[in-house]
Amino acid sequence: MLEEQFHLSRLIAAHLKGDLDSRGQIEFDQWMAASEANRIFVDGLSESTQVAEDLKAYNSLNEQLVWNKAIHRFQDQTKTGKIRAKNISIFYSAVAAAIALIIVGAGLYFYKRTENKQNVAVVFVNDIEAGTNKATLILPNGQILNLSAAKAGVVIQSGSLKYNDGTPVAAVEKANPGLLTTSTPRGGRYQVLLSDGTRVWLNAATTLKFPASFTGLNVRRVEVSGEAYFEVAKSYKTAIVNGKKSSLRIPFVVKTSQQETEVLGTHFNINAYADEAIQKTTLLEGAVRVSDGEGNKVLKPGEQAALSQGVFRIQQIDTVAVVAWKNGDFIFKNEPFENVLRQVSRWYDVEIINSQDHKDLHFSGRVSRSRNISTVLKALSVTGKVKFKIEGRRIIVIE
Amino acid sequence: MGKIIEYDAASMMESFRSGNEQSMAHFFKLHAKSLGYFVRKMIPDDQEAEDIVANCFVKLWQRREDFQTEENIKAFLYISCRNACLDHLRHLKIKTTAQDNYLQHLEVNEDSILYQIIKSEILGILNQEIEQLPENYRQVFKLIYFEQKKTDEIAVELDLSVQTVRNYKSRSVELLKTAMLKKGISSAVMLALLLFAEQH
Repeated sequence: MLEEQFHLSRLIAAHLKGDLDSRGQIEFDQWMAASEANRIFVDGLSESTQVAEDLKAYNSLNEQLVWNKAIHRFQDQTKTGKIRAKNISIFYSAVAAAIALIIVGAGLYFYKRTENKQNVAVVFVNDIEAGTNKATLILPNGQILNLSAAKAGVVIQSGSLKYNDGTPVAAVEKANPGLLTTSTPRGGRYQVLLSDGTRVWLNAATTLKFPASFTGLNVRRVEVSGEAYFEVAKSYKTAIVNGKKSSLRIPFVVKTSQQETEVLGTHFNINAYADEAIQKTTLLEGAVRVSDGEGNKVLKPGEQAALSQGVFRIQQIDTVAVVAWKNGDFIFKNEPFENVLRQVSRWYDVEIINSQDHKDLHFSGRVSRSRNISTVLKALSVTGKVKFKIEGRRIIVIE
Repeated sequence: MGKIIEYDAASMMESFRSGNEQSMAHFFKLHAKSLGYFVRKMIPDDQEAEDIVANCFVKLWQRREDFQTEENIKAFLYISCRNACLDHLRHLKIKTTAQDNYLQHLEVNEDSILYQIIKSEILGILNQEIEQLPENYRQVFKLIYFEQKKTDEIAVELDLSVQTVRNYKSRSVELLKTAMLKKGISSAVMLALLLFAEQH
């Protein structure tokens, strides 16, 4: 295996050094003539500044370090009794090796260099925890309730407010007309069960405005700013149509600053943060119609409507990625770096300072939202394209 | 130091197979930098790259009885590293889109990996030329060429006088020229290397 490659490397190196004998020259010429790719490869090696860079990169490996790592693992093997490894000599030992072997040591210079190099592991001091269940509920009369961090959701009924496990949320006056507001702060998330059975998951920095009761209404209307995932319950009213009693669906409408999404009974995600240029509605099940007052579009499951500058763009989308936040993950799909930063900053409630130019940098992958921020930052920096520093509640992009 | 003593390949393989640590060190020294260069072209993270190279040598050690020739060993090391790199890339939680595309490209198109192997080996051979200079000259040459350090910085680092450093500089350039002239050749690459060294 690889004999051909090793042979070629000797041949090409000889060419670069001007060392080819006549037979070698013929072979080399044939190889060069065999394909464009071969020629391009050799040309790439013939440029001397490039060679200098490559040799520099070649020599920059910290051999001592890698050897130490290998040794530790040999010795681990020894513990399980698999390999006998007594007194493995220090790599750059001054002791002469057996005469039959090559003596290739390093000069003092080299040894000095490796001592100075420090291998600094990426460690974040002052790590930051993931977001938690945090929200406030504002009643129509202006009263503000802090929802319990120990519960994950709140259940709205016209006469009462309870947590999703049945315990009541502080005493509330009955028959409170007007809208309620549930807000999650940065670093928060919460669930709300509306009085018609519609379930809403709120991401960080999100506000949901809704009536305590939908009874008697022809349309169920709520308002969202931020990001929320809806599982809308079907709701009917009886009406006389053409002299006959029928059951009509009552639509559910979600209003954001720029659009309205009309829903008949379905599961969908709305992303409408004030600091994002595009508002996105993604349908998982059922049917919705999105409109911004001028145009409107109907979505089918698996489609996303992205509203930007008055235009709706529809595309098929990976819905798993879109609702990953609700299921406890960040999933990025070719996501621009700035977007990644905004999502991270909202969930961890941190300020991110980015002065680097990473306009063309996009990320894909999945990482859990339930770990500390260092997990996410490390996953991003392992790509080698970005580096971060944590200072209190600020994250600074340093590369 | 920096010298190469002729050795007997057969006894080297025998020592290696029987678990002699010095022969392991020999193969490490021989191949680590090439492997490191090869791996780092695929894996952006230095620490991860170092781990991969270290692990391949451990695997080599575990299987040492299976190898007949030095070239077998070299091939095993490259293949082992290549597989570890592809595994690592596949398992990265988050990749940049460029890396995602790159991984797909690698998986479909083996050629670029093969070219990388060839290049890593070539760099090793070229580097040998430089390693064969006498130590002081080699040190100075490396500092100029690879680190692009200035004469006075080098003098401080090696604890020599500035004049001594200048002398080593010009001597190393001359030695290289002589070595090449002896072989009766003038390679564009080597001359360019020398020119660079002379100008700095």
